[in-house]
Amino acid sequence: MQVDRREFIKKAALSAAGAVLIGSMPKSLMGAARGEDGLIWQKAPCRFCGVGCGVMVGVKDGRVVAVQGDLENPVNKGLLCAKGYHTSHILYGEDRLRKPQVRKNGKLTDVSWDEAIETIAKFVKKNDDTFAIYGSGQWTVAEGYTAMKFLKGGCSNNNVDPNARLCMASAVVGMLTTYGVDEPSGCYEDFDLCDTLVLWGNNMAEMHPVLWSRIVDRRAKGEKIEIFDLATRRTRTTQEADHYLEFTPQGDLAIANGICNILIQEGKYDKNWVANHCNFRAGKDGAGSPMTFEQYKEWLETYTPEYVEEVAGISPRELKLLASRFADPSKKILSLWCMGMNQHTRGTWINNLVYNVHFLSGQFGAPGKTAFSLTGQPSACGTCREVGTLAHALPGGRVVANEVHRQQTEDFWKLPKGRINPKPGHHTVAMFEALNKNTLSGVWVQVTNPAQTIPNLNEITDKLKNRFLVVSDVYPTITTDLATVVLPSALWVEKNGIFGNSERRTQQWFKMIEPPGEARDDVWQMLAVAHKLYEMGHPGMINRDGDFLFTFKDENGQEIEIWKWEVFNSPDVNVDRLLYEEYRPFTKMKHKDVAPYDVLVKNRGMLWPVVQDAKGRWRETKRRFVEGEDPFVKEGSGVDFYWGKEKDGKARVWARPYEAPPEIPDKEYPFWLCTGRVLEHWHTGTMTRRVKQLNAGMPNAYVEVNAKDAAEMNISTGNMVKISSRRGSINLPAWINGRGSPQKGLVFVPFFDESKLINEVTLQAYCPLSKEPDYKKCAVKIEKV
Amino acid sequence: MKKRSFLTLCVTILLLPVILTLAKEKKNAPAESVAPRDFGKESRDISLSSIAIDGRAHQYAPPPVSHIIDDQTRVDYCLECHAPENNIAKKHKAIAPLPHPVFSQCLQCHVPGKDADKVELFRQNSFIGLVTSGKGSRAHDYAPPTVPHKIMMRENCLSCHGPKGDVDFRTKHPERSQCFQCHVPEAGMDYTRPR
Repeated sequence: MQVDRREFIKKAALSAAGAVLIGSMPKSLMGAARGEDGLIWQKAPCRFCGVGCGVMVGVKDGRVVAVQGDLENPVNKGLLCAKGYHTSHILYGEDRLRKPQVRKNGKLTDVSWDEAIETIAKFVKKNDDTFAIYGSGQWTVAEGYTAMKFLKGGCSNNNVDPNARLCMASAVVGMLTTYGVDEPSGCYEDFDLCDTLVLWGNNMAEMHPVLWSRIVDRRAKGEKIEIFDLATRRTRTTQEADHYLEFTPQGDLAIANGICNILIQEGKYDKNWVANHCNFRAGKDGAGSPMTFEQYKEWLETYTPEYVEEVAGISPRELKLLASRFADPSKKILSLWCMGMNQHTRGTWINNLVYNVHFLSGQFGAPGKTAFSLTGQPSACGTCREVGTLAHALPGGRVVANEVHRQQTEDFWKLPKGRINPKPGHHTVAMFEALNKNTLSGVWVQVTNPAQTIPNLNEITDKLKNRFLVVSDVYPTITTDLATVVLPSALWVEKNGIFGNSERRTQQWFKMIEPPGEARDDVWQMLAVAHKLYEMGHPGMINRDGDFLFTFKDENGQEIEIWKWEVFNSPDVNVDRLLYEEYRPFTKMKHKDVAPYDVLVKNRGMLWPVVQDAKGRWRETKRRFVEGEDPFVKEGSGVDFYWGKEKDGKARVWARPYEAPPEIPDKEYPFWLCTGRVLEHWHTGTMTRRVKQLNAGMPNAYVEVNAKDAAEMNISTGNMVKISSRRGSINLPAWINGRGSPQKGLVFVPFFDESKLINEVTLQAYCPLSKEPDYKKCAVKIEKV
Repeated sequence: MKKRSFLTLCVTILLLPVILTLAKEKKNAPAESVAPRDFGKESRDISLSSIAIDGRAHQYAPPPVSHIIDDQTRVDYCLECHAPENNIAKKHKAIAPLPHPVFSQCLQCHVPGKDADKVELFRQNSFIGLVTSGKGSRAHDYAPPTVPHKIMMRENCLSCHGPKGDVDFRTKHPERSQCFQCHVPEAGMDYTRPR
């Protein structure tokens, strides 16, 4: 029998696509994806990281069949990374959650949406002051906004916090304490223009791959760029670096101060820049107290190259080399960082200190000269930071502790005066501790998997299964395993959405396909519970006009019944647009004006502040605080930190000392443990591990051991190794000189693998200012097993 | 010059019996042998295939790396063999030269995929990727077939269709380098690649 070649290739490609289902799949479906007839391409931002690449999504017969890099998107200009090219797969894991489930007699049981919604509403009605929402930097803008209005506006309860607390809180508090307002000044265009790149503990090659390519591929075009890799382990990033500066964990604090000390001692700091744009500040807390430049200079004198070598392990020669670049005014220097600086018990301080280096050298506020905080998640900026889904915050840079901010929010939301609670809620680690102690009675988790990612899991999630735990997700996870109610969610292009990326770019996409089974949008889930509470007479769900909290009216003044799925899901209603436009006025107070929805539809995202020029055109802002670019900058100032705490247009240079981390390797636990991500997997791997290609590329977690340490302990690649801390232990296969090579005395473990929970070993110590835990440093011992 | 002519002559004389035999065979070949080649035959031999054409998730996805990657961090590692102008690639024709211009971060898109089929799936997935390849149409039996797929980042045809490419896709005339001179891209001209 001769097999038709077309048929053969089709089968080969099908098995390649990870769908080895030829036997079980209907014939009609098998052929569905062939050929480009009837294929429709639409734009969307990538589902994964904070880079925010543009993806063109190909849909045919109601299914996503391909993705490609969006050539029109200025972020990635057509290129994607391995995760991005496989985004299409994440929608089609066979075990997608398709039915709401409620735990009955200890077992999760399929129920109707009505029953699930009513179960949640009944619980919240009774416990509205002890209920929490734990969200995500992968929430769309509307999802985060709905959660805020529901709990802070509807329940007078501020216990909303996102997983972004574990990811960028230190960067936020760093910016707030340095220049008074969150989010970076620069943009990705600076990556094309700098000639010197300093990476502060940042493995960009695996974590922000497309931006990394954007930088290093400049060399292929004949451009010169000098790269300093400050790190605690050698990575793919190191391979492109001109200088690898290996430092002892926590030594970054001393290195930054050491650079500033050299600049001042040698008189090579930018005197004009400092005089025009800097105030000096002493203290360990967020407020601090003023100090003079002379006092700062004296304070810095401790940080001699020799002292820096003692605590940070880099030689005076290396420190001077790095400082010499900052001393050279002809350079254009870009500093980048992500989790290395943020997941740090002194995360806020190290963020402050890197700005110090750039301020003293005048390397800020000009094309190619900036200090830029990279973000981990696709909408950590757009949702968590701008909408403000944090325990202490209100939308648009407001805080619950500020009476004026509360009143403004009450007015926007048409709430009776005094509805918003002035007391901040629990930040993430405290939230899970409170759940453990039963001072919080329940939590609704959306778009995240805390049972895998909270540090020191044994301690923290132990009793979670005894609380009222609602989980909205797309796949079964180890968090849904503990849940009381599981809600199946729509994912990525199965719903309308807006994300805001690292460079202040707000990007919109439309729903392209239907979610599987009975899965529904997270926004709808919360609106449905809110309306059920309204029906039950919960006073918080009624606004001051006597209407439902989430009231939207059509052109004829008729209320749109968005809590009904058939209305919400109708092509005539775009709830994403309604909620976004309700939220948009919040963004003006802090000069973070986001673009109107209909403008976003036509663009590949826009960098806020977006304001209309004299001709009525919407104009984005590449560089904030920079005259000629940012419309809010005072004329003649050059650089104007208009939200600076002293209200004089200046930013703060902070005297933040080196401080040893809370747990240091000792005789019993002689190794540092550092955890992190890998290129192939997104966070806890619930999406990417269901992609055959990505799973095959990186099937399980491992432990990287330094080659000398491994030789001393007779460990070779593939040997099982037991890693233990004072909190827990797990066994992992060793990888020596593999993806990365840690410094002597340090081991690295990725956290994506749910069967090897490294967070049972990590420490929950956090930065006292940002409350962000340190996943990069704790003491462990390793044994060959 | 003289020396070279002499050598050529010697080689020709030595090979004469072979050349004659070949010529004779051709002359005596039955008429059917010039009939259109059969593209429908399944002639696939996986052991001969060194290129992971099949590892691709969909038409626009990058193929995984089909062999062991000794060094997971060295990004220039790949180009030692896969560079279009590389001697190793020329000598050992088993190695696919790069089909697109050099982007330095190869492993950013191409994940390790050796024995991907043997790696246990974490969970089943029912994604069906877009496949536009198939038989390109041809005007008549003697006309060159069209290029049935998009070019997108696959500008060097020999990367997949070269002498050691997948049996089903190998060109019969690798010495001809101007592929598009005869083979028209039926799926449309799309030399789109990241800027």
